Amino acid sequence: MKRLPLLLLAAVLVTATGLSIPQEGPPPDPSPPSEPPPAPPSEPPQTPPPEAPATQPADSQIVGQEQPTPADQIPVEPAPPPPRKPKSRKPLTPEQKRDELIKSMGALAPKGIYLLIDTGTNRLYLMRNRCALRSAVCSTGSGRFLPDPPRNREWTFDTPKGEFKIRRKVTNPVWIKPDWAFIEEGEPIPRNRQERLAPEELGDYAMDLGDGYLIHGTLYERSLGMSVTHGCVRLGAKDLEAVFKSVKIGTPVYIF
Amino acid sequence: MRRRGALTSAIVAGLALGALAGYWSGRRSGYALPIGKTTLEQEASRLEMEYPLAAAKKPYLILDLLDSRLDYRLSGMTLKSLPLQIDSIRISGKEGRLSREGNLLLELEDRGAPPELIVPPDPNKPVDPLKDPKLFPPDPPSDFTLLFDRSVKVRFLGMKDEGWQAKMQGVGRTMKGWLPWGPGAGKNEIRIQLRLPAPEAQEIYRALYQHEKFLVLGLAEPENLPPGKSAAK
Repeated sequence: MKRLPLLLLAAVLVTATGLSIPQEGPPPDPSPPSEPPPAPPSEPPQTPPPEAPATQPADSQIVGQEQPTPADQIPVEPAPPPPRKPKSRKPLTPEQKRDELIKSMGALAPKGIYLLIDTGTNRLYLMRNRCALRSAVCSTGSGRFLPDPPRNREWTFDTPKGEFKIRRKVTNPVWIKPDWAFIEEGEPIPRNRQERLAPEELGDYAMDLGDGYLIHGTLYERSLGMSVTHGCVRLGAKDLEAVFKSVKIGTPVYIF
Repeated sequence: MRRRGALTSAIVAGLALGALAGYWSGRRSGYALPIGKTTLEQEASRLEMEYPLAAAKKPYLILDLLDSRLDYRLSGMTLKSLPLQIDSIRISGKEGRLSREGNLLLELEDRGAPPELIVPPDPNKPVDPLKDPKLFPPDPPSDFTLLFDRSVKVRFLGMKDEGWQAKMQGVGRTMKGWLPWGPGAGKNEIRIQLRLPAPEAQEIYRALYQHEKFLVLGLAEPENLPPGKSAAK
Protein backbone atom coordinates (compact mmCIF):
# COMPACT_ATOMS: atom_id res chain seq x y z
CA MET A 1 0.00 0.00 0.00
CA LYS A 2 2.94 2.26 0.73
CA ARG A 3 4.05 1.93 -2.86
CA LEU A 4 0.74 3.13 -4.30
CA PRO A 5 1.47 6.90 -4.14
CA LEU A 6 4.91 6.26 -5.69
CA LEU A 7 3.39 4.25 -8.51
CA LEU A 8 0.78 6.96 -9.07
CA LEU A 9 3.52 9.62 -9.17
CA ALA A 10 5.49 7.56 -11.67
CA ALA A 11 2.40 7.13 -13.85
CA VAL A 12 1.75 10.91 -13.80
CA LEU A 13 5.39 11.61 -14.72
CA VAL A 14 5.31 9.12 -17.57
CA THR A 15 2.12 10.63 -18.94
CA ALA A 16 3.38 14.22 -18.60
CA THR A 17 6.76 13.64 -20.25
CA GLY A 18 5.42 11.47 -23.03
CA LEU A 19 7.86 8.71 -22.20
CA SER A 20 6.79 5.23 -22.95
CA ILE A 21 7.62 2.17 -21.08
CA PRO A 22 9.76 -0.06 -23.28
CA GLN A 23 8.02 -3.22 -24.22
CA GLU A 24 9.50 -6.38 -25.35
CA GLY A 25 8.96 -7.38 -28.95
CA PRO A 26 10.17 -6.53 -32.44
CA PRO A 27 11.22 -2.94 -33.21
CA PRO A 28 8.63 -0.77 -34.95
CA ASP A 29 8.58 -1.20 -38.70
CA PRO A 30 10.05 1.96 -40.26
CA SER A 31 8.32 1.29 -43.57
CA PRO A 32 5.00 3.00 -44.18
CA PRO A 33 1.87 1.05 -43.37
CA SER A 34 0.48 -1.09 -46.10
CA GLU A 35 -2.81 0.80 -46.10
CA PRO A 36 -3.83 2.25 -49.43
CA PRO A 37 -2.63 5.85 -49.81
CA PRO A 38 -5.17 8.42 -48.73
CA ALA A 39 -7.19 10.34 -51.27
CA PRO A 40 -5.50 13.63 -52.24
CA PRO A 41 -6.14 16.44 -49.84
CA SER A 42 -8.79 18.87 -50.89
CA GLU A 43 -6.38 21.56 -49.77
CA PRO A 44 -3.16 21.72 -51.79
CA PRO A 45 -0.15 21.00 -49.60
CA GLN A 46 1.89 23.99 -48.60
CA THR A 47 4.85 24.37 -50.87
CA PRO A 48 7.83 26.64 -50.64
CA PRO A 49 7.73 29.68 -52.91
CA PRO A 50 9.45 29.33 -56.30
CA GLU A 51 13.12 28.92 -55.73
CA ALA A 52 15.22 31.96 -56.30
CA PRO A 53 18.83 31.37 -57.19
CA ALA A 54 21.47 31.86 -54.54
CA THR A 55 22.57 35.03 -56.23
CA GLN A 56 20.33 37.66 -57.74
CA PRO A 57 21.00 37.59 -61.43
CA ALA A 58 18.03 39.63 -62.53
CA ASP A 59 17.85 43.38 -63.02
CA SER A 60 17.47 43.68 -59.31
CA GLN A 61 16.47 47.26 -58.70
CA ILE A 62 14.43 49.83 -60.50
CA VAL A 63 13.12 53.26 -59.77
CA GLY A 64 10.27 54.95 -61.58
CA GLN A 65 6.72 56.12 -61.30
CA GLU A 66 5.03 53.39 -59.41
CA GLN A 67 1.37 52.78 -60.05
CA PRO A 68 -0.70 53.18 -56.92
CA THR A 69 -2.04 49.95 -55.55
CA PRO A 70 -5.76 50.17 -54.92
CA ALA A 71 -6.92 48.31 -51.90
CA ASP A 72 -8.70 45.73 -54.04
CA GLN A 73 -5.52 44.98 -55.97
CA ILE A 74 -3.22 44.28 -53.08
CA PRO A 75 -1.88 40.81 -53.67
CA VAL A 76 -3.40 38.52 -51.19
CA GLU A 77 -2.64 34.87 -50.90
CA PRO A 78 -5.81 33.03 -51.79
CA ALA A 79 -7.45 31.42 -48.85
CA PRO A 80 -7.04 27.67 -49.01
CA PRO A 81 -10.25 25.84 -49.75
CA PRO A 82 -11.89 24.47 -46.65
CA PRO A 83 -11.16 20.84 -46.05
CA ARG A 84 -13.91 18.60 -47.25
CA LYS A 85 -15.74 16.60 -44.69
CA PRO A 86 -15.47 12.92 -45.29
CA LYS A 87 -18.86 11.87 -46.53
CA SER A 88 -18.58 8.28 -45.56
CA ARG A 89 -15.97 5.76 -44.58
CA LYS A 90 -16.84 3.62 -47.58
CA PRO A 91 -13.78 3.31 -49.82
CA LEU A 92 -14.06 5.09 -53.15
CA THR A 93 -14.46 3.11 -56.32
CA PRO A 94 -11.68 3.65 -58.91
CA GLU A 95 -14.06 5.75 -60.97
CA GLN A 96 -15.00 7.96 -58.01
CA LYS A 97 -11.36 8.26 -57.08
CA ARG A 98 -10.40 9.28 -60.60
CA ASP A 99 -13.24 11.80 -60.84
CA GLU A 100 -12.31 13.23 -57.45
CA LEU A 101 -8.69 13.63 -58.54
CA ILE A 102 -9.67 15.25 -61.85
CA LYS A 103 -11.90 17.64 -59.94
CA SER A 104 -9.17 18.51 -57.44
CA MET A 105 -6.68 19.04 -60.23
CA GLY A 106 -9.14 21.20 -62.17
CA ALA A 107 -9.53 23.41 -59.11
CA LEU A 108 -5.80 24.18 -59.27
CA ALA A 109 -5.96 25.56 -62.81
CA PRO A 110 -5.80 29.35 -63.04
CA LYS A 111 -8.89 31.39 -63.77
CA GLY A 112 -9.41 34.92 -65.03
CA ILE A 113 -6.55 36.93 -66.51
CA TYR A 114 -3.02 35.56 -66.19
CA LEU A 115 0.26 35.45 -68.10
CA LEU A 116 1.92 32.32 -69.43
CA ILE A 117 5.59 32.51 -70.36
CA ASP A 118 7.20 29.71 -72.36
CA THR A 119 10.97 29.92 -71.93
CA GLY A 120 11.50 27.13 -74.48
CA THR A 121 9.98 29.07 -77.36
CA ASN A 122 10.35 32.58 -75.87
CA ARG A 123 6.66 33.37 -76.12
CA LEU A 124 4.39 35.19 -73.70
CA TYR A 125 0.64 34.63 -73.71
CA LEU A 126 -1.93 36.89 -72.15
CA MET A 127 -4.63 34.45 -71.09
CA ARG A 128 -8.19 34.62 -69.88
CA ASN A 129 -9.25 31.25 -68.49
CA ARG A 130 -8.18 28.86 -71.27
CA CYS A 131 -8.18 31.40 -74.12
CA ALA A 132 -5.08 33.23 -75.33
CA LEU A 133 -6.00 36.90 -75.75
CA ARG A 134 -2.59 37.89 -77.03
CA SER A 135 0.60 36.14 -78.00
CA ALA A 136 3.90 38.00 -77.96
CA VAL A 137 7.50 37.21 -78.76
CA CYS A 138 9.68 37.74 -75.70
CA SER A 139 13.20 37.05 -74.52
CA THR A 140 14.03 35.06 -71.42
CA GLY A 141 17.13 34.02 -69.47
CA SER A 142 20.24 32.94 -71.36
CA GLY A 143 21.24 30.33 -68.79
CA ARG A 144 24.81 31.63 -69.06
CA PHE A 145 27.15 31.65 -66.12
CA LEU A 146 29.23 34.60 -64.92
CA PRO A 147 31.84 34.06 -62.21
CA ASP A 148 33.46 36.86 -60.23
CA PRO A 149 36.43 35.06 -58.61
CA PRO A 150 38.00 38.11 -56.91
CA ARG A 151 34.86 38.67 -54.84
CA ASN A 152 33.90 34.99 -54.67
CA ARG A 153 30.55 35.52 -56.39
CA GLU A 154 28.80 33.95 -59.36
CA TRP A 155 25.58 34.39 -61.31
CA THR A 156 23.54 32.10 -63.54
CA PHE A 157 21.21 34.04 -65.79
CA ASP A 158 18.12 31.84 -65.77
CA THR A 159 14.51 32.90 -65.75
CA PRO A 160 12.95 31.25 -62.70
CA LYS A 161 10.14 28.78 -63.39
CA GLY A 162 6.90 28.47 -61.49
CA GLU A 163 4.00 30.58 -60.36
CA PHE A 164 4.50 34.27 -59.63
CA LYS A 165 2.36 37.36 -59.21
CA ILE A 166 2.67 40.90 -60.49
CA ARG A 167 3.85 42.73 -57.41
CA ARG A 168 4.40 46.22 -58.78
CA LYS A 169 3.67 48.13 -61.95
CA VAL A 170 6.10 50.91 -62.81
CA THR A 171 5.99 53.42 -65.64
CA ASN A 172 9.22 54.92 -66.99
CA PRO A 173 11.39 52.55 -64.99
CA VAL A 174 15.03 53.42 -64.44
CA TRP A 175 17.34 50.47 -64.11
CA ILE A 176 19.93 50.62 -61.35
CA LYS A 177 22.62 48.48 -62.88
CA PRO A 178 23.87 45.79 -60.51
CA ASP A 179 27.51 44.72 -60.22
CA TRP A 180 27.24 41.88 -62.74
CA ALA A 181 26.28 44.31 -65.50
CA PHE A 182 29.73 45.90 -65.16
CA ILE A 183 31.64 42.65 -64.61
CA GLU A 184 30.05 41.18 -67.72
CA GLU A 185 31.28 44.13 -69.77
CA GLY A 186 34.75 44.01 -68.24
CA GLU A 187 34.19 47.44 -66.72
CA PRO A 188 35.06 48.59 -63.19
CA ILE A 189 32.21 48.62 -60.70
CA PRO A 190 31.26 52.25 -59.97
CA ARG A 191 31.03 53.52 -56.43
CA ASN A 192 28.66 56.30 -57.35
CA ARG A 193 24.96 55.39 -57.62
CA GLN A 194 24.45 57.91 -60.42
CA GLU A 195 26.81 55.94 -62.64
CA ARG A 196 24.60 52.90 -62.26
CA LEU A 197 21.41 54.51 -63.57
CA ALA A 198 20.23 53.41 -67.03
CA PRO A 199 17.03 55.36 -67.69
CA GLU A 200 15.91 53.98 -71.08
CA GLU A 201 17.16 50.42 -70.89
CA LEU A 202 13.91 48.90 -69.59
CA GLY A 203 11.46 50.60 -71.96
CA ASP A 204 8.33 52.46 -70.89
CA TYR A 205 6.91 49.97 -68.42
CA ALA A 206 8.05 47.33 -65.98
CA MET A 207 6.12 44.70 -64.03
CA ASP A 208 7.86 43.34 -60.97
CA LEU A 209 7.63 39.61 -60.29
CA GLY A 210 9.68 39.75 -57.10
CA ASP A 211 13.27 38.77 -56.30
CA GLY A 212 14.51 41.32 -58.82
CA TYR A 213 12.84 39.66 -61.84
CA LEU A 214 10.83 41.94 -64.11
CA ILE A 215 8.82 41.93 -67.30
CA HIS A 216 10.09 45.01 -69.14
CA GLY A 217 10.90 46.51 -72.53
CA THR A 218 14.18 46.55 -74.36
CA LEU A 219 16.41 48.62 -76.57
CA TYR A 220 17.37 45.49 -78.49
CA GLU A 221 14.13 44.40 -80.13
CA ARG A 222 16.15 42.46 -82.72
CA SER A 223 17.04 39.89 -80.11
CA LEU A 224 13.42 39.20 -79.12
CA GLY A 225 12.61 35.52 -79.47
CA MET A 226 16.06 34.52 -78.21
CA SER A 227 17.27 33.47 -74.80
CA VAL A 228 19.51 36.43 -74.06
CA THR A 229 18.39 38.07 -70.84
CA HIS A 230 19.77 37.96 -67.33
CA GLY A 231 16.60 36.35 -66.03
CA CYS A 232 14.04 39.06 -66.74
CA VAL A 233 11.43 38.76 -69.46
CA ARG A 234 11.78 41.32 -72.25
CA LEU A 235 8.94 42.35 -74.52
CA GLY A 236 8.61 44.58 -77.56
CA ALA A 237 7.20 48.07 -76.94
CA LYS A 238 3.68 47.41 -78.29
CA ASP A 239 3.23 44.10 -76.54
CA LEU A 240 4.65 45.54 -73.34
CA GLU A 241 2.10 48.33 -73.33
CA ALA A 242 -0.79 45.95 -74.08
CA VAL A 243 0.25 43.53 -71.36
CA PHE A 244 0.92 46.32 -68.86
CA LYS A 245 -2.57 47.73 -69.39
CA SER A 246 -4.23 44.33 -69.15
CA VAL A 247 -2.74 43.06 -65.93
CA LYS A 248 -3.31 44.18 -62.38
CA ILE A 249 -1.21 43.92 -59.31
CA GLY A 250 -1.75 40.35 -58.14
CA THR A 251 -2.27 38.92 -61.65
CA PRO A 252 -0.70 35.44 -61.71
CA VAL A 253 2.26 34.77 -64.00
CA TYR A 254 3.19 31.19 -64.86
CA ILE A 255 6.67 30.61 -66.23
CA PHE A 256 7.62 27.22 -67.68
CA MET B 1 44.60 -9.39 -105.16
CA ARG B 2 43.68 -11.09 -101.90
CA ARG B 3 44.06 -7.82 -100.01
CA ARG B 4 41.84 -5.99 -102.47
CA GLY B 5 39.25 -8.74 -102.17
CA ALA B 6 39.24 -8.51 -98.38
CA LEU B 7 38.90 -4.74 -98.56
CA THR B 8 35.98 -4.97 -100.98
CA SER B 9 34.18 -7.52 -98.83
CA ALA B 10 34.78 -5.37 -95.72
CA ILE B 11 33.27 -2.34 -97.50
CA VAL B 12 30.30 -4.40 -98.70
CA ALA B 13 29.76 -5.82 -95.21
CA GLY B 14 30.00 -2.32 -93.70
CA LEU B 15 27.48 -0.93 -96.16
CA ALA B 16 25.13 -3.84 -95.55
CA LEU B 17 25.35 -3.34 -91.79
CA GLY B 18 24.84 0.40 -92.21
CA ALA B 19 21.79 -0.17 -94.41
CA LEU B 20 20.43 -2.65 -91.89
CA ALA B 21 20.99 -0.23 -89.01
CA GLY B 22 19.42 2.60 -90.98
CA TYR B 23 16.45 0.42 -91.86
CA TRP B 24 16.12 -0.74 -88.26
CA SER B 25 16.33 2.74 -86.76
CA GLY B 26 13.84 4.09 -89.31
CA ARG B 27 11.50 1.13 -89.01
CA ARG B 28 11.03 1.43 -85.29
CA SER B 29 8.72 4.40 -85.46
CA GLY B 30 6.53 2.95 -82.72
CA TYR B 31 7.41 0.91 -79.66
CA ALA B 32 5.31 -2.16 -78.99
CA LEU B 33 2.41 -1.12 -76.81
CA PRO B 34 1.20 -3.41 -74.04
CA ILE B 35 -2.00 -5.30 -74.75
CA GLY B 36 -5.27 -3.99 -73.35
CA LYS B 37 -6.56 -0.58 -72.36
CA THR B 38 -5.68 1.60 -69.43
CA THR B 39 -7.97 0.67 -66.56
CA LEU B 40 -9.65 3.09 -64.18
CA GLU B 41 -7.34 1.95 -61.39
CA GLN B 42 -4.29 2.68 -63.51
CA GLU B 43 -5.65 6.11 -64.43
CA ALA B 44 -6.47 6.87 -60.81
CA SER B 45 -3.00 5.75 -59.76
CA ARG B 46 -1.42 8.01 -62.38
CA LEU B 47 -3.51 10.98 -61.22
CA GLU B 48 -2.61 10.21 -57.63
CA MET B 49 1.07 10.44 -58.53
CA GLU B 50 0.53 13.63 -60.48
CA TYR B 51 -1.56 15.49 -57.92
CA PRO B 52 1.32 16.52 -55.60
CA LEU B 53 3.22 17.82 -58.63
CA ALA B 54 0.23 19.87 -59.74
CA ALA B 55 -0.26 21.27 -56.25
CA ALA B 56 3.41 22.28 -56.00
CA LYS B 57 2.91 25.24 -58.38
CA LYS B 58 6.06 24.44 -60.32
CA PRO B 59 6.08 23.27 -63.92
CA TYR B 60 6.58 19.55 -64.44
CA LEU B 61 6.76 17.23 -67.41
CA ILE B 62 4.88 14.08 -68.24
CA LEU B 63 6.80 11.77 -70.51
CA ASP B 64 4.05 9.55 -71.82
CA LEU B 65 5.79 6.60 -73.44
CA LEU B 66 2.46 4.91 -74.17
CA ASP B 67 1.26 7.89 -76.17
CA SER B 68 4.73 8.97 -77.42
CA ARG B 69 4.54 12.55 -76.24
CA LEU B 70 6.01 14.96 -73.74
CA ASP B 71 3.53 17.19 -71.94
CA TYR B 72 4.42 20.41 -70.16
CA ARG B 73 2.09 20.79 -67.24
CA LEU B 74 1.55 23.31 -64.48
CA SER B 75 -1.14 23.21 -61.81
CA GLY B 76 -2.71 20.27 -63.60
CA MET B 77 -3.17 21.99 -66.96
CA THR B 78 -1.32 21.00 -70.10
CA LEU B 79 0.56 23.97 -71.46
CA LYS B 80 2.25 22.31 -74.37
CA SER B 81 2.53 18.82 -75.83
CA LEU B 82 5.39 17.63 -78.04
CA PRO B 83 5.10 14.39 -80.00
CA LEU B 84 8.17 12.18 -80.07
CA GLN B 85 9.32 8.78 -81.13
CA ILE B 86 10.77 6.11 -78.85
CA ASP B 87 14.00 4.74 -80.27
CA SER B 88 14.94 2.41 -77.47
CA ILE B 89 14.35 1.57 -73.84
CA ARG B 90 17.15 -0.39 -72.24
CA ILE B 91 17.05 -1.62 -68.68
CA SER B 92 20.44 -2.82 -67.41
CA GLY B 93 21.58 -3.20 -71.00
CA LYS B 94 18.59 -5.31 -72.06
CA GLU B 95 15.58 -4.22 -74.04
CA GLY B 96 12.86 -2.87 -71.77
CA ARG B 97 9.13 -3.12 -72.32
CA LEU B 98 6.29 -0.69 -71.87
CA SER B 99 3.71 -1.44 -69.23
CA ARG B 100 0.38 0.16 -68.45
CA GLU B 101 0.86 -0.23 -64.69
CA GLY B 102 4.22 1.44 -64.59
CA ASN B 103 4.71 5.08 -63.64
CA LEU B 104 8.04 6.46 -62.58
CA LEU B 105 8.52 9.77 -60.82
CA LEU B 106 11.94 11.25 -61.56
CA GLU B 107 13.89 14.36 -60.67
CA LEU B 108 16.31 15.96 -63.09
CA GLU B 109 19.82 16.02 -61.69
CA ASP B 110 21.86 17.14 -64.64
CA ARG B 111 21.08 18.22 -68.16
CA GLY B 112 24.31 16.83 -69.40
CA ALA B 113 26.23 19.98 -70.22
CA PRO B 114 27.65 22.77 -68.06
CA PRO B 115 26.20 26.27 -68.52
CA GLU B 116 27.96 28.47 -71.00
CA LEU B 117 30.58 30.61 -69.33
CA ILE B 118 30.59 34.37 -69.92
CA VAL B 119 34.02 35.74 -70.64
CA PRO B 120 34.14 39.52 -70.22
CA PRO B 121 35.34 41.18 -73.43
CA ASP B 122 38.79 42.63 -73.76
CA PRO B 123 38.33 46.43 -73.66
CA ASN B 124 41.09 46.76 -76.26
CA LYS B 125 39.38 44.46 -78.75
CA PRO B 126 35.92 45.65 -79.81
CA VAL B 127 33.32 42.85 -80.21
CA ASP B 128 31.68 42.34 -83.58
CA PRO B 129 27.97 43.05 -82.79
CA LEU B 130 26.92 40.22 -85.13
CA LYS B 131 28.99 37.79 -83.09
CA ASP B 132 28.03 39.16 -79.68
CA PRO B 133 26.55 36.20 -77.74
CA LYS B 134 24.55 38.68 -75.66
CA LEU B 135 22.55 39.58 -78.76
CA PHE B 136 22.86 36.38 -80.76
CA PRO B 137 23.33 33.43 -78.42
CA PRO B 138 24.61 30.10 -79.73
CA ASP B 139 21.98 27.44 -80.39
CA PRO B 140 21.34 25.03 -77.54
CA PRO B 141 22.24 21.39 -78.24
CA SER B 142 19.74 19.25 -80.12
CA ASP B 143 21.27 15.95 -79.01
CA PHE B 144 21.62 15.69 -75.24
CA THR B 145 21.21 13.23 -72.41
CA LEU B 146 19.38 14.11 -69.22
CA LEU B 147 20.51 12.45 -66.03
CA PHE B 148 17.84 11.71 -63.48
CA ASP B 149 17.84 10.31 -60.02
CA ARG B 150 17.16 6.57 -59.72
CA SER B 151 19.80 5.92 -62.40
CA VAL B 152 17.67 6.91 -65.36
CA LYS B 153 19.17 8.53 -68.45
CA VAL B 154 17.04 9.96 -71.22
CA ARG B 155 18.61 10.93 -74.47
CA PHE B 156 16.78 13.40 -76.72
CA LEU B 157 18.00 12.99 -80.25
CA GLY B 158 16.97 16.01 -82.31
CA MET B 159 16.79 15.19 -86.00
CA LYS B 160 18.11 17.76 -88.42
CA ASP B 161 18.34 17.75 -92.15
CA GLU B 162 22.00 16.86 -91.84
CA GLY B 163 24.69 15.74 -94.19
CA TRP B 164 25.80 12.15 -94.71
CA GLN B 165 28.43 12.38 -91.95
CA ALA B 166 25.85 13.09 -89.27
CA LYS B 167 23.60 10.36 -90.68
CA MET B 168 26.45 7.87 -90.52
CA GLN B 169 27.17 8.94 -86.95
CA GLY B 170 23.53 8.27 -86.08
CA VAL B 171 23.75 4.83 -87.66
CA GLY B 172 26.96 4.19 -85.72
CA ARG B 173 25.25 5.13 -82.47
CA THR B 174 22.35 2.80 -83.23
CA MET B 175 24.77 -0.04 -83.95
CA LYS B 176 26.67 0.73 -80.76
CA GLY B 177 23.46 0.26 -78.83
CA TRP B 178 23.19 -3.31 -80.08
CA LEU B 179 26.54 -4.34 -78.76
CA PRO B 180 26.48 -6.48 -75.62
CA TRP B 181 29.15 -4.18 -74.16
CA GLY B 182 27.37 -1.06 -75.45
CA PRO B 183 26.18 1.87 -73.31
CA GLY B 184 24.40 0.86 -70.15
CA ALA B 185 25.44 -2.79 -70.36
CA GLY B 186 26.31 -4.28 -67.01
CA LYS B 187 24.96 -1.25 -65.13
CA ASN B 188 21.76 -1.13 -63.15
CA GLU B 189 20.25 1.74 -65.03
CA ILE B 190 17.48 2.65 -67.41
CA ARG B 191 18.36 4.29 -70.72
CA ILE B 192 15.67 5.76 -72.91
CA GLN B 193 16.36 7.23 -76.31
CA LEU B 194 13.78 9.53 -77.85
CA ARG B 195 13.78 11.07 -81.29
CA LEU B 196 12.11 14.33 -82.28
CA PRO B 197 12.75 17.29 -84.61
CA ALA B 198 15.86 19.28 -83.66
CA PRO B 199 14.06 22.61 -82.94
CA GLU B 200 11.81 20.85 -80.45
CA ALA B 201 14.76 19.14 -78.78
CA GLN B 202 16.40 22.57 -78.41
CA GLU B 203 13.15 23.96 -77.05
CA ILE B 204 13.10 21.25 -74.38
CA TYR B 205 16.73 21.89 -73.45
CA ARG B 206 16.22 25.65 -73.14
CA ALA B 207 13.36 25.35 -70.67
CA LEU B 208 14.87 22.70 -68.38
CA TYR B 209 15.77 23.53 -64.84
CA GLN B 210 17.51 21.53 -62.17
CA HIS B 211 15.34 19.34 -59.98
CA GLU B 212 12.51 19.56 -62.52
CA LYS B 213 10.09 16.69 -61.96
CA PHE B 214 9.28 14.19 -64.70
CA LEU B 215 6.48 11.68 -64.46
CA VAL B 216 7.25 8.84 -66.86
CA LEU B 217 4.17 6.86 -67.87
CA GLY B 218 4.44 3.36 -69.22
CA LEU B 219 7.61 2.23 -67.55
CA ALA B 220 7.59 0.10 -64.45
CA GLU B 221 10.48 0.52 -62.08
CA PRO B 222 12.64 -2.57 -62.19
CA GLU B 223 13.78 -4.12 -58.96
CA ASN B 224 17.29 -3.51 -57.64
CA LEU B 225 17.62 -0.17 -59.35
CA PRO B 226 20.12 1.85 -57.32
CA PRO B 227 19.01 5.22 -56.00
CA GLY B 228 20.30 8.34 -57.72
CA LYS B 229 22.36 11.17 -56.31
CA SER B 230 19.39 13.04 -54.89
CA ALA B 231 18.08 9.94 -53.18
CA ALA B 232 21.44 9.42 -51.54
CA LYS B 233 21.47 12.93 -50.04
